[in-house]
Parts: sequence; structure tokens; C-alpha cells
Amino acid sequence: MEKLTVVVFWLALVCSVASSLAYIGNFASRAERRVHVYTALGTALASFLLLLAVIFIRAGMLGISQTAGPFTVRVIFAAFIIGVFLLIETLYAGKNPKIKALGMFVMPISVVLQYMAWHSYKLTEPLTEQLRNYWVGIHVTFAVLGYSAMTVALAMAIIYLLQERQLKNMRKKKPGKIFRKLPSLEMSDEFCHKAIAFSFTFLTLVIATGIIRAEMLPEWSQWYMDPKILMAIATWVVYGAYLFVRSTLGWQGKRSIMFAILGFIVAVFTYLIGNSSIITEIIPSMHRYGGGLG
Amino acid sequence: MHVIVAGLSHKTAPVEIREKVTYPEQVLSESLHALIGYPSINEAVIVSTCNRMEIYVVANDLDKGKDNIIQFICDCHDLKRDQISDYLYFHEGKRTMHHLFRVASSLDSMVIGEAQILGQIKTSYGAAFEADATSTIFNRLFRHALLTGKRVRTETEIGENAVSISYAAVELAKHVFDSLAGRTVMLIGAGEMIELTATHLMSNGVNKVIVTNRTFERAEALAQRFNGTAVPFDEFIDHMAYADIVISSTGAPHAVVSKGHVTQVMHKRKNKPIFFIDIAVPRDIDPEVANIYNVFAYDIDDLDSVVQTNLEERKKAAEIAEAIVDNEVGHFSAWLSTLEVAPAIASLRHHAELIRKQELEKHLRKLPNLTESEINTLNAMTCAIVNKILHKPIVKTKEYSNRKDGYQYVDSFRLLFDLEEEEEQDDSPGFLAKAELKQS
Repeated sequence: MEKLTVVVFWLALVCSVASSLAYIGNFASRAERRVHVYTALGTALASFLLLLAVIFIRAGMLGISQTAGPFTVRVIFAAFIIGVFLLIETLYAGKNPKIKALGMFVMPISVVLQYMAWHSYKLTEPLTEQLRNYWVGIHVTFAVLGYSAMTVALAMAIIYLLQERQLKNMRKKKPGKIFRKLPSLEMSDEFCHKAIAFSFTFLTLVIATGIIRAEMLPEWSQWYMDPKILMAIATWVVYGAYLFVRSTLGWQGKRSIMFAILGFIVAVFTYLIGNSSIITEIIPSMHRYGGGLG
Repeated sequence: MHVIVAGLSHKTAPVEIREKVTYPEQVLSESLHALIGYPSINEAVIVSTCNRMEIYVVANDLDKGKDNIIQFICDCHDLKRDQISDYLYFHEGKRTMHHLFRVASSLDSMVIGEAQILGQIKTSYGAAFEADATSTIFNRLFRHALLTGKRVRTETEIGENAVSISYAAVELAKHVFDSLAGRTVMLIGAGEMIELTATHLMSNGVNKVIVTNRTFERAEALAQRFNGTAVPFDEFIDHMAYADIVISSTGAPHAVVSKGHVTQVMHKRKNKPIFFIDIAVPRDIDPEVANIYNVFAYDIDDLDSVVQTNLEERKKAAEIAEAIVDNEVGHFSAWLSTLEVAPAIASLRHHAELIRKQELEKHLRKLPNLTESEINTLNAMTCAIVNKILHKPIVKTKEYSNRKDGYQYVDSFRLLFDLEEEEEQDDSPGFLAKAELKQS
């Protein structure tokens, strides 16, 4: 079973790399061969399914309660990012083929996550009693879903900024290939908004399930002052503010996009607390599992 | 069997000739019947558009076929041969396919990449199909041509980007707004250019028009044409907040829309994106406006630079398209060659010889004691049997293949003897196109 996990995992990684290259190639090339379009989508789908297979094989091998280790969590993360992207592509690419530009950003991110997962494969520290709880399982799944949508939102925000620069600087610089291939401002703004709304919902649930779990523990009161928890709430506030200013003040465009990017930076920092050993040394956190890589 | 095209286009004939030699829809069916009435012509399609007139035929004799086409054109239009022969071009065989595929891909058009020609070929072929003027070869050829045209459009950017100023405005707007459906446009001025751009915007879904002009009557007239509203010139800034797209082209010597105006408008719009196109010289919209948040403002030079880049892009796309055309011509001629009689016969002979050799070897193994001369006799005998059996079908096929519908006999010949095509090639384009044609 061990071997099978490794083989399926590597197959998924190869598919992701192929898909990344195909999306970038399709974006860069003049001629859009149908074969290439299907290759990009097909390998992305294959990679998604293979990653899901890895998760199930591992759950079957180690038991469901042992799957929350760093390797599996990252694999789930890599899979969900592709999943969110595939969902957008199947729903909207028929009407707006330009949305495929998203693949160029999302697939490489998934490759990086898979690479990181591979690095933590050997870290098989047994899970503490604290983690063997289905609330934790739900908590982690929601967190990964939230982070996946955030990453897609970031990709959309970058696409927006690239396109806006082309549109605003047309006088100084002739519009290039990016200009013709990237989706319209309205569309990237709208998708960024959707992704953040999706992410915000899960972020709320993550915090709620976290609280429920912390309340069950004897040292519950200490959890409320933990830097990781405070940062998670800060992320929630930034994204909440994004949704608020967008809906009430009508902040469309670059301003709300900058908010989305700020939110992502805060979220990355939240993720690193307790997960990155350098940062954990400066800011100690109780939220520290799976050998510091959870 | 020869595939020939004769035609005249904007490249070879002046408009005086092109306007004479046309086949409007009403007479098309009748003309097609007349054309296939000629003894040498088996199949025919007439493509008649404003920039070209082309007659495609399958003829069983090359020279007679060409001659019949010229005769046909002269008879139809009361012309003398020497009046048109200078303007006509002819292609035959593979070059006909190449030409047709290029035409369908809009590579031979006046404006490369224009979208109409594919539809026009579809209609022309449809008419010929209805009139029973097409058969095996043209049914396949024209469906393949339509497919090639479609492939070129989906796989290259040949028709995607605007090559006129007014389309460039629409294209730019579409980079800001995802769709123009339900948007409001404000027209400042009532000139021709404004009207043209507004028409393009309307056909892209813009459904509300606000018009303003110094002479209010002209604004009203234009508003009426687009089913919109006219507003007086001195208060148009108040209405600008409702517009997502503003197009300006007045004769004013200085800017009519200042930065202060737009700041005020954006405040009222709650910073929703707005798109300005200034096609006037001197400019109507203060260029500073472009620096305001969520304002996208362009002038005639910006549009022109978009058009120039797009023209270059089309040229590059055309190179890729030529490669696609070559590729598809290769596919098609591979199929066409299976209708030739000589390769079919060679294939049958080869097939029979193979069977003979195999059987002979098999049985010689069972008879190890034969002498050299006995083996030779057996060899000669089997050869004779094979040749005698094949003689009649081969002679008859050769004979029938010279008839008007000869290739159908060749086709059956291949079918009955189960002769495989020399080259592997996929059948799908034909079938796909057939299904599509039925749908539409």
C-alpha cells in the first residue's frame, strides 16, 4: 500500500506539471489546437482524481483518524485547489473561454503544494490525542477549502491587476499578448469576489469549529490568546471588510482587489504561524501539530 | 475525373466585370441545372458573393470541362468569350481544393479573417445540394472545406480582433466589461462615426442610448433611430452617471468633458467603472480623465494602435491558417485518390498475388517431393487462374470508370473486393460535417 501511495502520488504530480505547462503553452501560443486545450483540462482532471485516490488510499491504510498529518493535509490542499479551478472551468469556460487563463496560475501553485507535501511525506509523527477527534477533521477540511478558494481569489486578483495595467498604460506601452488573452476586468473582479465569498463562508466555519474543539479541552482559556487564532480572526476581518465595502460602498475594481491581496498576505502569515519553524520560534503557538508542518 | 474551379474575384477583375457576372439566389438553382446539363460536367457548385464568383465542377475531361464553364458563363450573361477570359482564373486538381479551403478560411478575402465567407460557402453548397448538383466528391469536398474554415477560426485568432476603428472601440470596451448586454451608452455628438460605433455597440447588446448634441434636433433624430433618449447639451454631465460607455465626437475646439466633470460623475456612480472613447480631433475629453480611479479613457490614437497591432496579429494568424489548410488538403486528396481507378486495380492485383503466394507455399510444404519443373508448372497454373478470374472485373472497371459517374464504380469496386485504402486517414470530418449540415 505504501508503494501504491507513492506511485499514485507521483503520477498526480506528473499530471499537474503537464497540465501547468499545457495551460501556460496554450496561453502563450497563437494557435489554439483543440488537442492542447483538452490535454490541459484532461491532465488537470487526472491529477485531481489521482490526488483524491492518494487521500483515500492513505485513509484506508492508516485509518481515518491518522490522516490529518502534514502530507495528507497538503495533498488535500493541492487537490482542492484544482477542484475549485475545475469547478470554475466547467461552469464558465463555455461562455467565457478566457477564464482558462486561471489555470496558468492555479496549476503551478498545486504543483508547489504537492512538492511541499512530498517533503513532509517522511514526517510520520503519530497524531496526538488532541487531534483524534472528528471536530478536528471537519476543522481541517474547512480550512483547506477556505485556503483553496483564497488562492483562486489571489490568482484572479493578479489577473485583474495585469489586465488593468495593460488598459491604463495603453498610451505608453502597446497592448501585448496578455491583453488579448486575459479575461475582462469585470469578469476577474467578479470571480475574485465569488471566490472570496466562498472562502469567507468556510473561514467562518473554521473558526467556529475551532472554538467548539477548544472548548472541549481543559486548557481552553489559553486558546483565545494564541497568536494563530488571533491571526485567523484578523484574516476573517479583512475578508469580511472586503465583502462589506464591495456591497455597501460599491468598491469595485482595483481598490477591492488590493483588499483581496492584503487578505491573502494575512492568511499566508496565519498559515505560517505554527507551521513554519522559523516563525514559530519568534511567535510560539499552541496550534502546532504534525511535526510543525501540519 | 477532374476537380476544376473557374472564377473571378476582387484580385483579378474590376467591379465592372464582377457586377455583371453574378448568380443571385433566385436563379441559382436554374443555373446549376444548366451547368450539370453539359456532357462533361458531373457536379457543380456556384459561389457568388460581392467580391467573388467561382464555379466549382467535377468534370470527366479537363479541357472540355473548362471550355464548358466559359461557355456557361457567356451564355448566362450575354458576354463574349474574350470579354471575360482575361479575368478568369482556373485551378485544377489539388490546387482547386487548396483554393477552396483558403477561401473558406477567409485567407483569400479582401479583409483577411472576415467572418461572412464561411456562411456564404455554406449557403452556396446548400443550394447546390438542394438542386441535386452535387454528389460523392463535392458533398465530401465542401463539407471538408466548411470544417477547415471552422477549424481555422477556432484554432487561430484570425477573426478575433478588430481591424476597424469602430470595432476597436467595441473590443476595448469588452476588455473592461465582460458583456455589453444591458449597458447604457452616451453619445456626445451626432456625426457619422458616432453612429457607426453606436451601431456596433448595439449589435453587441448595448440596449440604452442617451444622445446629446449642440443642435438638439440632431440629437433627437439620432436618439429616435436607436430608440434612445436625447438630452440637452448643457446638462449632459448630469446624465453621464447613468452611462457605462461614453463616446464623444464633437467639433468643439477644446475639451467638453473635463476632469472635474468626471470626478463628479464617478462620485455619483459610486466608482462603478466607466469607459470613454474620444474619436474627435481636437479631443473632447481631457486626457487627464484617464488617471481617475476606474475610468478607462481612450482617444483615436489608442484605437488606431489597437487596429495596427491587430492587423499584424492577423497576418501571423494567417500563416498558421495556411498550414492548417495544407494539412486538410492532404487529408482530402488522400481520400480522393482512392477514387482513382489505377491504384484500386493495383491494390486488387497485389491483394490477389499475396493470397496466391500464401496458398502456394502452404500446399508446397505438404508436397515435399515435387521436382523443380513441377513447382514451376504449379506456379504458372495458379498465376493463370488468378489472372483469368481478375481479368473481367478489371477490364469492366476500367471501362465503367470512364463514364460520367465513373468513380462510383471504382468506389463499389473497392467495397466489393474489400480493398483497404493505401493511406490511413480518418473518416470523421465528413461525418461530422454531415451531422452539422442536417442540424442547421
